Amino acid sequence: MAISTAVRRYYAEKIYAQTSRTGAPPNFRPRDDEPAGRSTVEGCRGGGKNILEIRLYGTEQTVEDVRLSCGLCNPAMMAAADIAAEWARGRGPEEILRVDAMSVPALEPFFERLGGPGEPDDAREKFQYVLMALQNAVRDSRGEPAIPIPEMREPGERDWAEDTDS
Amino acid sequence: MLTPMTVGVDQISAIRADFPALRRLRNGKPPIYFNNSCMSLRPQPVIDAITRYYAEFPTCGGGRAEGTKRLHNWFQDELRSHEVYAREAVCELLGAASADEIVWTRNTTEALNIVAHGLALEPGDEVVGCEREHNSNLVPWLEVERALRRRAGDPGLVVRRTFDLAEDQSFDIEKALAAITPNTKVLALGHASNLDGTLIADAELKRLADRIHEVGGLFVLDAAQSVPHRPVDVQALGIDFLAFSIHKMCGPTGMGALYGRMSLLASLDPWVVGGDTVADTWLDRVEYKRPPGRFEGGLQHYAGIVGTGAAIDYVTKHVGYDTIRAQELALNQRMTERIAPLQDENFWLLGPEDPERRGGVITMTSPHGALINAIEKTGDEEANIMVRKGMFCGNAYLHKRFDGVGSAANNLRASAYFYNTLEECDVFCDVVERVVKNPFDYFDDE
Repeated sequence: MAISTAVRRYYAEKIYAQTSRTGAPPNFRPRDDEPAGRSTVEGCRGGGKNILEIRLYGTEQTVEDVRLSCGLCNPAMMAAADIAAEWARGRGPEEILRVDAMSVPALEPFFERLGGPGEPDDAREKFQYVLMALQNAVRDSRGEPAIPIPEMREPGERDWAEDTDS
Repeated sequence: MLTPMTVGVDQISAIRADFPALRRLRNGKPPIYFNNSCMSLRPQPVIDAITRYYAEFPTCGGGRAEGTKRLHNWFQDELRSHEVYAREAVCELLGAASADEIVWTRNTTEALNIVAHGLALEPGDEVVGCEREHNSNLVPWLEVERALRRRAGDPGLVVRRTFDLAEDQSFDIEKALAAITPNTKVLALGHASNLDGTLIADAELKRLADRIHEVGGLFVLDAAQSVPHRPVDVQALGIDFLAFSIHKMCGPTGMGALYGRMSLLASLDPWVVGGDTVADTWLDRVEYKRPPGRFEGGLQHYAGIVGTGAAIDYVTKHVGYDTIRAQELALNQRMTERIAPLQDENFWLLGPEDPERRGGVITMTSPHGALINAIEKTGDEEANIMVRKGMFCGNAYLHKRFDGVGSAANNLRASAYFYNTLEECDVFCDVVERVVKNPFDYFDDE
């Protein structure tokens, strides 16, 4: 599937343009210290090592930093993860856990950060994966078990509104 | 830079006619095979030799007494003559003193495991390698290290020492020499890198051999990426053990060989034992064959052995190392001339920029898996280009270099061999150029 215009633009400006031979984009740069919580999600098709890892730093009250690592293979996943990392920084764990990743209205702030046009399927699917992984990282920071992340189907295989309304 | 010897277009066309796989078409286009560092294609004479085994003398080579020259068994006798021919061909290829110094293996990996596990190292012994060893020349030694640490009851016991490469990622002889200590029992190095094609020069190999022998150690050479491309003389270079794969030099898949100096092979513990490795057994003891038989457990890949003789003849006598070297250099010069100018902060080449120092290998890397994936996918879909993507069993080195700046896995290697053409290079470079200049047109949701 071709990537959407919105994802293409975000990736070009916020990720591709901020990468160099000596440094990944800011949210993808590793830190030496141990995170408070971490989680992984296999959100890209193809299996293998297509795994995004989310590492969360902060206190019980506030998420101070979020770092990501993966192969930068899927522009939509990278854009979604980058946006989610920016969104989570400075927020409280409870606020992160309250987001219903399967609900259309809950994703609106993320689509806003992505920029238009529209709310493309490729980004929607990845926002869902990333938000659920982010919530699992919060759970990990509290010593709670992760909740299994369901596999999203290809866009078009189901009616998005129908699913989220149920 | 040396002016490369020119290989005639007619000569390459004639060579290509020997390879049936190059005559195939998909979507009306032939294959462009640039994955030769992994496995080469096979010419008709090798395919014929393999077929001849199955069609004419498809028997087992087991159950023979040591030193038997002639057998009273029609098929076994024919197989035996091919096996002797192939072993002598490898002996001659490597400049070994005797065909009995050649052990058949499945590949380089198995050969290196035979050495690592057979040397019976003791706690306190050290193994030296560089930071860029292939997993096949890393993992067996890590397993030896694990066993020695367990035996010594010391989880921090130093067994394997690693030295760094030069600034331009080529081999640094001084760092290698400095890493050898009086405790070093094994110097285990890759001769040519499968990651970027860089090579240890003959004069450097000799210096290393002299140094490791001064401290009473052994020199183990992983020659998987060198023997298919250039002459290697184990006696002249002072190599104690050498491992290589036949399937990287037009031979049957699942065929490799281990060279070991006879006195060392004779003292090496066999690793895979059982059928055909023994001279005799009793209920409470075993008497092993002399080398190489003691290392060749069970029935062998006889079709592969027969095909090995044909492959070595084809590569060394029909094509010749001079032609291979000249053609690889010409191909890599073309690819480097076209791809090197595309380098930027999101795309660059691994290893020295001079193609003469990289054999037939050009490896591109990027922080963006999407870019590497796009080159591979576009090349496959548009032009049947076959390259290799990923870490090429150089995980440890790539992790060390790139984990801090993104992913270590976003690498794409084109490895040429003598049957590739400049036209194929141009088709590949066209794809690389288009994708690198317009990456977002080629990214997709995979």
